[in-house]
Parts: sequence; C-alpha cells; structure tokens
Amino acid sequence: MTVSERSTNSAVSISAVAVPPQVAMRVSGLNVTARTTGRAVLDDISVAVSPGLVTGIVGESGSGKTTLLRSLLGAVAPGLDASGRVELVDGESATELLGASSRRLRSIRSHRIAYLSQDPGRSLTPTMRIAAAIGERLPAGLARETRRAAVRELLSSVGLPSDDDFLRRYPFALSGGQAQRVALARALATSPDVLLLDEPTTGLDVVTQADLLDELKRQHEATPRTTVIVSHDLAVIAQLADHVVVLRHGEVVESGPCVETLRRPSHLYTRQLVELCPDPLGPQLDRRIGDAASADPSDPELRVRGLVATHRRPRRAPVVAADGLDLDLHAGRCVALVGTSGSGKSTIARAIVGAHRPDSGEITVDGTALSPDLDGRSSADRWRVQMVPQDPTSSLDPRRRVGRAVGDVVRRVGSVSAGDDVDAAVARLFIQVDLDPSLMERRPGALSGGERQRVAIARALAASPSVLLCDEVTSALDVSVQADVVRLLRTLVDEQQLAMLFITHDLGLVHDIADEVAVLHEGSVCEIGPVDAVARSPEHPVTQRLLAASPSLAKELEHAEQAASITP
Amino acid sequence: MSDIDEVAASDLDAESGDEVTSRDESVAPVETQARSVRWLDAWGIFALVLLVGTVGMALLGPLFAPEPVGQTIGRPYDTETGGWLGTGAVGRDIWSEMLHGGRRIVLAPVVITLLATLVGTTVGALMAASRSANRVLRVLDVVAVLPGLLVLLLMLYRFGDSLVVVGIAVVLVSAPYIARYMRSVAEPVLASDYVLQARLVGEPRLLILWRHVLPNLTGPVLADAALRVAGTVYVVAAASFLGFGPPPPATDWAVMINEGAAGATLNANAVVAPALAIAAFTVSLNLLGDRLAARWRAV
Repeated sequence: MTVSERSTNSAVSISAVAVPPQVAMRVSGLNVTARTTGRAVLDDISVAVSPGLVTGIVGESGSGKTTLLRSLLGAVAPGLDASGRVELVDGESATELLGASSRRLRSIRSHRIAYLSQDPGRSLTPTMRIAAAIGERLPAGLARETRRAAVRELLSSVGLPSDDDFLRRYPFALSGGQAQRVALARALATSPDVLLLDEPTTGLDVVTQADLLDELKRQHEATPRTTVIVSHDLAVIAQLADHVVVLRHGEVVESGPCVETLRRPSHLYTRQLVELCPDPLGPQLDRRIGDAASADPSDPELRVRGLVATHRRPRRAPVVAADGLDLDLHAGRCVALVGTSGSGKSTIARAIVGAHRPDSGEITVDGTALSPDLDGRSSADRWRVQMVPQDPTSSLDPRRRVGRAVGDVVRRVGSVSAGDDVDAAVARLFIQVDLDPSLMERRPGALSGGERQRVAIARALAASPSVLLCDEVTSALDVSVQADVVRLLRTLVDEQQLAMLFITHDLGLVHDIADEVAVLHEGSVCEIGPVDAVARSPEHPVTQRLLAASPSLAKELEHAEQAASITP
Repeated sequence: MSDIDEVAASDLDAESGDEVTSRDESVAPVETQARSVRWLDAWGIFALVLLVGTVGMALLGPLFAPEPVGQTIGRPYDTETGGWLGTGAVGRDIWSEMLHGGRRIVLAPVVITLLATLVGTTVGALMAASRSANRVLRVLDVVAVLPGLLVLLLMLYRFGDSLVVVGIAVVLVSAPYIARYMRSVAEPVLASDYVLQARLVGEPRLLILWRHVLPNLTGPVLADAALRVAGTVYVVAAASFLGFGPPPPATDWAVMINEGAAGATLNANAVVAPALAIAAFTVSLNLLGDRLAARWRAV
C-alpha cells in the first residue's frame, strides 16, 4: 500500500471532526524568468498539491524552490516575470492567483493561504507583543476577552504557554523555537485552507527542530490541512511529506509519493541528494579518520583550561558560553564541538582567537600562553590560530577582490619565499582549496556560497596557522557543496597537520571529518570520545537527546516503511 | 528563444557586472540586477539631464551671456526688451544674469560639501574605531545643537562676508552630523567578520579603516553628500538672499530672487527663472542621491 493511500485514509477518518474543507492547489505550465537577463528561474513547472496532504519541495539553493512556493501565494519577486497558471482549487471552482488583483490576493492571503517563513525572528514585528501579533490575525470585531481566549487557545495548540506573562512578551524575549511556534500560531489563527512552510526549521538547532517537526506532525494529524513544505533537508521532508517534488535549476526532476521516491529514486540527481544527506548513524566513510584516536602521546597544539566566557546581551540574561571549559587540540587531528544553537559555540571560538575577552581561563598554543585580548597578542601569535567564520557572505569584504583579500594576508605574514610573487602564492592557495585561480579577480558577490567559503579557508591558510577553528562553516551551504568542503577540510588536517576544531550543530557531519567529538552542555564538555563510539553508545543524556533529535533520512524511511506495513 | 536572443541575454548578463557563473545562486543575483538597473530609471535619467543642464549653464554660461555683468539695457521688469526672459530689477537682461549668476550657487556648495564630507567622514571613521570616542562625541553634540543659520550670520558679521566664511561655517555646522552618521554606518562594518579576519592577521587599525571600512562607506557617503550639496545650496542662497552675496554688480540666482521679488507682478520671470534653476539643481541632486543610495545598498 502506498503512502498517499495511507494518508488519505487517515485524513478521511479524521475529517469527520476536521473543520477546513479540502482545498487543493494546481500549478500548470508555470514559467518565471528574470526580466533583465531572460534567464529562467522556473521552467514550465506543473505541480498538483493534493488536498489534505503534505507536499514537500526539495532542492538546493537556486533551484527555484522558494520562488515556486511564493508563486503559490500569487507573489512574484521584483524583477521576475511569471506566466502560466497557479490555481486554488476548491471543489469545482478554481481561483487563478497569478495576476489577480492585489485586493483579491490580500483577501486570499489573509483568509485562505497562510505562509510561514524561514526566519522566525524576522517574521514577527519586533515592537508587537505576542498577544497583539496573534490577535491581529483574528477576525475583527471580537470582544477583548474572546480575542484573548482565542489567542490563548492558539498558543496552547502549538505547545506554548498561554499565561498572561507570556502574552505580554515581545519577540526578542523568545527563543528561536518559540518564535517559530508563535509564527505558526499566527499562521493558523485564520484557519487557512492551505499552509505554506518555507524552510520552517532551518534556523533552529536539531533538538528544537525535532520538537517543531513533531508539533507540525501533530497539527497535521489533528487537522489535516493542505500543506506545502519547502526544504533543502531530505530528512525533514521525509518526516512530514506525503508527496515530494524534487527541483533542480528550475525544473522538476522527479516527483511522486515521498517514501517511494526517496527509497528508490529514479533520477540520478535525487539519488545523489539521498546519498549526500548527512546521517549521524551512518558508517564512517573515510577509514583514515579516527584510526589514531586512541594513541595520543604528543603534547596538544592548543590547550584550553578553565575557560569562562559569557556573552552579554542587552535586556536579556547573559549566555554562559563557556564555564570552566577544557579542550585539547592535537596536530593532525580534528575535534568536533557539538551543541545546540545559542549554547555559545561561536563565542568559544571567538574567545580562543582573542576576539571575545574571556572572564578567565588559560589558552596556550604549543606551550606558549596567549593573551586573552587580541590587542595583547603579537602578530606571530595571531597567525598561529586562525578561524573560518560561519557565513562567508559576511566574512569577506564585499568591496575587495578575493585574490587581493588572500594576498593581503600573504603579504602581511610574509609567507612568500624569495623570488616568488604574491599572486603566485595566492594562486597556489586557491589550488590548495580546489578553487580556480582565475576567480582571484572576482569580488565575493560574484562567487557562489561554496566558492566564498573556500576563499575564506584559503585566507585562513595564508597565515600558515597551526590551529584552525571552523565555526559552522557548512551551515550556509548546500549538501553537495557541504560534502566537498568537509572533504577539503579533512585533507588539510591530514596533509598540513593542522589542529582543527570543527564547530557544528549537525551531528551528521561529524563522522566525515572529526576524530573525536566533544558535546557542549552548559558551558563545558559533557562527553568526549571517538566519533564512532559516541555515536553508537552515547553516555550523557544530552548526547543521547542530540542523537535522537538529529534528522536521519535512513531512520525516517525505515519508520515510514514500518508504519506502512502495520497499517492494514 | 532564438540563438540571437540568447547571445544578447548573456551579453547583458556580463555587462551588468554580476558575473554569475555558478547557477546555484540564481535567485540573489537576479534581484541585485533588477535593482542595479532600476537606479537609472526614467526619473534617474531625467535627474541626470537636469543636473548636467544646470551645471553646464552655471559653468559655461558666462562665456555665452549676451550682455556683460551689470549691464542695464532698458526699463526694469520689462518683458519686451532684453532677451527672451525680459529684464529684471535695474533693467538688466534676466537671461544674461542667469548665465552669469550660476557659478556661485553651483560650485561653492559642491566644494563646501566635499570639505565637510572629508572632515566628517574622517572624524566619524576614527570615532568608530577608537575607544575614547564618547568624549569626542560630546563635543560634536554641542556643536551640532548650534542653529546653522545663526552660526553663519554671526561668523559673517564677525569675519566679513566672503564665500570662504560661508564655507567654514557650513563645514563647522554640518561636519558633526556627517561624523555621527558615518560613525553609525562604520560600526557594523568594524564589527563584521572580515574586519575580525583582518585583525587576526595583525592588520593595524588605521590600515583596516583605510582598506576595509572606508570602501564600504562609499555608498552612504555618496548618498549623503548628494543630499547635502542640495542643503548647502540653500545655505549659500540664503546668505546671498540676506545680503551676504557677491559684491554688486556681480549677482547670483539667490540675489536675483531677492531683487526680482519686488517686481514679480510686472515680470514674473525675474523670480521664477532663478528659482527654477536652483530647484532644478537641488531636485536633480536629491533624485540622484536616492538612486545612488539604492544602488550601493544593492551591491
């Protein structure tokens, strides 16, 4: 029995109590092109969104998945031209959305189609209290008390507290997961026929993501609603979707029932996506990694002892990033530091390089103590510890050609040997990170995300560091690019004998790069050990929770298969 | 799409400056392109034509004026005699006066604004980078609360009425605002990851300011300066209007408005022509300033 039948059955059984009528959406022959260049963003797309089911749209960045989702709202970004049909189908009647009057679109968007955006922090008006933010979506003319009660009901329906204190809060006083739930409650306030979710969990850490996905699943089971979810993460799609549509370069590569399609992808690209999907429980691909994990006689390259670092925020409680943190990094080895987002992982990296002044603690590199303050460190000290920041868009000067950005470092560090010019040295670094040296003349804006991150790595390497800190370096990248960057970093560890700290919230990446994994909890390492051992038998409850929450495509598909075989 | 169209499209792609090679980021560059095209929209072209027209008239006008400066050619406020605009206050040809009277209104504000921007941006960037910025800021705040026109008039009385004094007064009054603005724009740049990366390899503060901060302020600086020239035009014009203008018989557009106002009912051109010229200059600057700001934001 296929999944779609199963879901339809469950939908039918519940629809006796379910309120919303079953409304579908239909996209046919949708073309979206860039007005100035004529390049196709979406090329002749036809998608049927079945009533009461969850349709997942998967694709890497630039595949046009967000453009497709927004077109379901009848919205086209400025500079784009759309043609084709996007219809809201309610029984016999169909409403065309493309080119509909803005008045009509406003009414449809406020009553029938709800949209939940990726970044919960930005989708809520910062000056509006929670009660007002949700209350404004309710029908006008309700009595104050009725409105309050409705808001409370909505909040508890998405698993949030509904007391007065919570109602009075502003968005800044919410965690990422809470903010996304409030946004969800807002979206559900009008009981829309169709719910559009744009990467709803991407900004959240794994534990919060798992919670929110459960919430969405629960919501959907209670009230089956026509839903479209866009994600780059197959594991997320596999958990929620009945149908999946795989997009690439604006074309539908493959579509069909979710589990079937992901288990037996017929298109090469889908197969690639499935294979590259990071899996915390999968086998370690590279056998070299972790071999030397047990034997460790040498002195550590970087030694951190008793690090206490707090990140103070205006009007909020300070985050204690490190509270007596001890950490050793050895040459030629990589340690993955894993923790939920907001736990202060980045602050730890910044404290080690000297950009964030720690409250106390000792940082030594190869036996010499480093000043806690960057200004107190000599240039030579600075060069030994380099960092690759999370987002290559903000870590590269937008006005400086990337070749010059790397050249600046080469020149300053003097890592050019006699009779060699800076350009040649930069070109060598570019080749080392698998970048075409012809890209040296580009500005960061003219590079792809993966290329930018490689430039950032090349710039860090230009200082010839012995310690390299990588702060969530792959979180802004597509899975295929992510795999390449991880491979590159591992090669650097092996060939240059770098001591690397790989900070991540994604346990799936860890065993492709790290020898050891350290789990961060409340400012200190609660569990550390070889990757395979920790993944197989986690001891600390925090590690267990992280592992359980980590999205795993294999796990999801197995669950779905089991569920399907149980259902008659 | 035919082959020819495709070639044309790819040419456009290359020319617009966004050399997008990899296809995996098509969405963002598309929007950037849309915005970078928008800055020279119909209004932008209109503003550019207007600006070139007024500046050209101001700079080259004296070479083409039919009458020399201060030449009386007929009865005052007469629409029949003189050039196509008739005559003004003392029976001078309005068209000739227009051609003679633009340099001061157009050139002086540009030079003064350049100076003020130079001073303000330098102080602002240094304040952003320094730790003792707060003390400097207090001093600037005190200067900033002084009413501009009052400072201007006091200085003109005290040091004599010359364009240099007007310039110094404007720089003194506007530099604190520019500095404050530049400090607030420079701060996020200084907090950025690429400045951190520069610090990690030991680049000194001043080099960071020069290499990373100033280039990234270009957009805001240009947009602010364009609007500020317009503001300075009004200060210079106000000084002229209040009698601190060029020594007679020399004139400028603001003096012409002042003198022409008396006979506006006889020959409205005496007021309308110089007023329109000043408006054309400032409005075109404002329009271009907005577009420059949008364009630099988009990059």
